[in-house]
Amino acid sequence: MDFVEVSNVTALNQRMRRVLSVFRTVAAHMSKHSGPSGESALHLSGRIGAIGRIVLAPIFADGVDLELLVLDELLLHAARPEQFSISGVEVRLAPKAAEWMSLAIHELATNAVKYGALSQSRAKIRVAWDVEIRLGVRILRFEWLETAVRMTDEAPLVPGFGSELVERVIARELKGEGKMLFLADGVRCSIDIPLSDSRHRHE
Amino acid sequence: MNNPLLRKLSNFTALSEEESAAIDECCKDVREVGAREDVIAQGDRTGGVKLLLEGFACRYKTLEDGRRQIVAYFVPGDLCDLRVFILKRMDHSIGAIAPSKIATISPDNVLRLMHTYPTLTTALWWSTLVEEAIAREWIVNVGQRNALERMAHLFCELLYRYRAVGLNQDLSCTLPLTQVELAETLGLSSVHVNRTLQELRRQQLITLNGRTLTIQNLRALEELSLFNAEYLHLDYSAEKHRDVEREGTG
Repeated sequence: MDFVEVSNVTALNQRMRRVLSVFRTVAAHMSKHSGPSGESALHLSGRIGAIGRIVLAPIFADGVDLELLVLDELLLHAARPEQFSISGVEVRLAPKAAEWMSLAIHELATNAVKYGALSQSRAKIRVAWDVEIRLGVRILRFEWLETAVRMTDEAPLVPGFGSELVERVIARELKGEGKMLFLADGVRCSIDIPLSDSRHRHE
Repeated sequence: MNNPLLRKLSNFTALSEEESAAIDECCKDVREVGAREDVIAQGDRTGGVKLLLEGFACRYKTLEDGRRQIVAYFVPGDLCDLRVFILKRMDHSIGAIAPSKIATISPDNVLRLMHTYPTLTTALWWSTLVEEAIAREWIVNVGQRNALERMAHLFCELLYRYRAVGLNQDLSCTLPLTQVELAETLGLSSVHVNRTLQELRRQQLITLNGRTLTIQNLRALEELSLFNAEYLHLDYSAEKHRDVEREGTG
């Protein structure tokens, strides 16, 4: 096993810069949309936790397994196996992609606890992905689909951090495309990002 | 008699021949239990103290709807709660995972040992404290660690515990658990366990061959799971500790 962070200092510095950029994104969002301060603190702490988990976890030299990443984030939100299904080909994400995807999945799972997909008995989440070649580039097509959720009135009217992350930040940082839709029976989030060969690049 | 309890207590202190003989004398009531059979079930009268002589067992609790949480493992030399006979009925079950040999030490014998031999008593207290420290670490495991860390931590712990009773083969030890049992231990789904095992293998940290777990790189596995063997309190023999580290880096 070869840990990225011990293998060289440049990689470590790159990683630190990425972490700071994640924090800046979170901070910018929260200062624009400050809710009740107690709630903000709660969210901040959750997000720091999510960032910390992925950043402090050793990223193997050959990248992070997407399925494990999704499973871990669902586990953290105490999702029971019967509440979700996961299917997809084996995908290993480069560290930068793993960090942003991990934060996006954290936001989706947190919302799912808050608005129903992980807190209502009939609701289900289907997470699925595949890899497509477009113009010679491998593209990950990831989808988080909630069904049978009774959307409550508490659901946010203004786009939350999750939406901003998926639709704007991921496009910017990972040169991909994201869509977050609040449908009648749950959230449908799709994220398409190009996959770099994580074996040779640690960015 | 090669009593693994004596081997285990020797990590803490040197027992006299008289003390060792006294323990052996109390371990004569031995019965064999098949794999996946209960040694004693929740609700049963407590009776004597169980000592695992051979095999592998676990302590577990079951919810009414059948979900099960394994809350402890027993390797040879482990006592299933030294003071259990103070209670009337078991609030949990003890089940064999591999075919096992189990000695039952009667409450009278436990009390007699403790009234007669102060050094032995302290050693038994030590083993109880270690058992409680392991339980605390397991709570941290399911409460805070992610799947890779949980499993890596558990595997490190098992190797150290087998080592403490001389039942390891270098960096290999017996792992008679199914993936479902690992899931019930680590609070993961079986899919998650399967995926996590694959990842540990892929990163060349472990190999699983039948019922044998081999840790290929102990230092890396410890680092991955933030494992620090201090909670096992085996450091009374400093030499041994250093040996483990040396093997891990090799």
